[in-house]
Amino acid sequence: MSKTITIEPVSRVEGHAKITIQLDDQGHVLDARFHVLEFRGFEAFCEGRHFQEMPAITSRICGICPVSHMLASADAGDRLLAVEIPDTALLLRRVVNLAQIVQSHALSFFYLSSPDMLLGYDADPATRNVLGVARLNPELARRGIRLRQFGQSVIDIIAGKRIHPSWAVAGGVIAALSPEGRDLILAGLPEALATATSTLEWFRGALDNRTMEVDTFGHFPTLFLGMVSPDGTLETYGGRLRLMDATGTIIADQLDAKAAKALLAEQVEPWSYLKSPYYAPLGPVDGAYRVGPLARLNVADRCGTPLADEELHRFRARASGPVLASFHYHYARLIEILYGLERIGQLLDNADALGTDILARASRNRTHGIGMSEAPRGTLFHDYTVDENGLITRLDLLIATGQNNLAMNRTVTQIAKAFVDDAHLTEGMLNRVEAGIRAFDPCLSCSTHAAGTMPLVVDLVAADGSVLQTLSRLS
Amino acid sequence: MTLVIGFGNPLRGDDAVGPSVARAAEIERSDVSVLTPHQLLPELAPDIAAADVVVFIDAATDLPAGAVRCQIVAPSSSPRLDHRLSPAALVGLGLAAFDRAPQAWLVEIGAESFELGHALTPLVASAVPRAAELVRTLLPPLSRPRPT
Repeated sequence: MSKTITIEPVSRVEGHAKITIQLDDQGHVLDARFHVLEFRGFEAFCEGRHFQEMPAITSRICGICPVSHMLASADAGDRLLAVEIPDTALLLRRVVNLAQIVQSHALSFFYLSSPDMLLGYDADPATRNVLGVARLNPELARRGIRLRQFGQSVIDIIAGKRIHPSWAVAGGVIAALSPEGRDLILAGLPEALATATSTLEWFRGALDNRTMEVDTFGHFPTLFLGMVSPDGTLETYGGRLRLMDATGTIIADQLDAKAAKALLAEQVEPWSYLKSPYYAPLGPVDGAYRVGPLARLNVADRCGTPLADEELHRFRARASGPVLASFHYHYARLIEILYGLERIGQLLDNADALGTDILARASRNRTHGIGMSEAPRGTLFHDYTVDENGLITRLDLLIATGQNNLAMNRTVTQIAKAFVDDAHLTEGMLNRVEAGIRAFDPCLSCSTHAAGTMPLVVDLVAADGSVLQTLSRLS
Repeated sequence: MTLVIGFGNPLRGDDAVGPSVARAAEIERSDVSVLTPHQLLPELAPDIAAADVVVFIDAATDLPAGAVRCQIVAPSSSPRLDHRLSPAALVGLGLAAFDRAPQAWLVEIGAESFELGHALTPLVASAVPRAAELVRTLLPPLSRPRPT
């Protein structure tokens, strides 16, 4: 008789979800699904609001990456105004977005994922957390805490508030950077860079013991989508998109948000609030793509900063083409922290950083605009349609975690097939299924625009649909 | 150094009582820092570990509306660490990572409503001055300048 295992809640991810694992009559894993259970409906209640309000409203979708929403929203607003924003505004938006990536990646790696790597997947969940890390490796915990603190302070200094700032608006930004603020940021960079490089060194050593996880945590071919500059260098804001296949062939390049979105379609499943976008010309199976740090490092020709490019070289040596192992999202995240810090230094060394021409003034000149940013978890689209008064008549938010949905489901199935069987159901197996999801650092608050904390449930379900066993854990 | 941390969401009714009390205490001392975050986060651990005294101020659901309670915060050795960090967990994290824990207090005010909105409910608002006075009494006395 076939069975289904359900993992609910999934812990140490942002939001609330559960996993079900379907077993066949012989007790082998048949299929697995990642269900997102919450719904908040920002798209509905933003209708009727003015587009100038949207950066402040949509940043409330998430407390982890409010900056990404604010910047994608402001970019959509720029399109509605039909203006090119001042150089200083673009530069400062880029710095804030990089700081957002640094602080969010630090949260993901040091607080959420390093406990698995340091303490092991079979460790007691009660101690497999950042406090466990602090006890075993206080230096690693200290570094992680201070690195996230640095990223948040950069946002605070430039945007005036570390969470839910209302600083970027359609046309530019509302406050310039002071010389004191710039100097404060630059003074913090050396320690942050030292943390990034020493953590990468530690991580490379730890990878030697994680061969099984590298091979089974979502190791498969997909397409990859990420932002690049006109010359193919890694970019996270104000660039164009590149789509690459699993062999490294570029199948679309230098796409603006409108052109990129036109290539995508969405599949809706009755068992999840999370929609599944795919590259429309290839359909939902072959058109599945991944976004986020792994995708960005795969599609870019280079990072464009010296230390990150050195590390990118080592990263790429792990595969003959694009790096396909989703476990390496962790590695890519650390490289992006290094890149982000170096790039912040480059940008703030530019005289434009202290410019005061920061806002292009215009009225609404279009009724449709699509903005984008590279959020920590991947490409984020804000698609607005407005009436002649600038009031939103249609809003479509395409979120990074949603774009990874097909890949996350495949990951859960692959891990379950490698580690789970009916006869030997252990906490360690379930931890690995959960950790496979965590490699993507999903943000369910963003992807379903849903509120909530993330506990995890795994259900074991028989062929006749009856639930044979449920394991649940508080977050 | 002393830290006063009044935490809570200012848009969720009585959840804002922590920041309200921290502001009402009107502490203007160079040796005291007042913070009013929405919630406790691990990034506060370095400052907490470096402080001599920390006073946390929060809304409580297990007290009658407007009641005020004060208790010592001991560092937790096995805290729940997720989206909601407790004062004990944060002091525990500071101790584990930075090898130092301050003398810490938690002042709680019984809350009535966490619905969306700016205003405190009347009973909770009336407790703010009492709680603020209690916070002031928990601060270390100002050290007298040494004669030169």
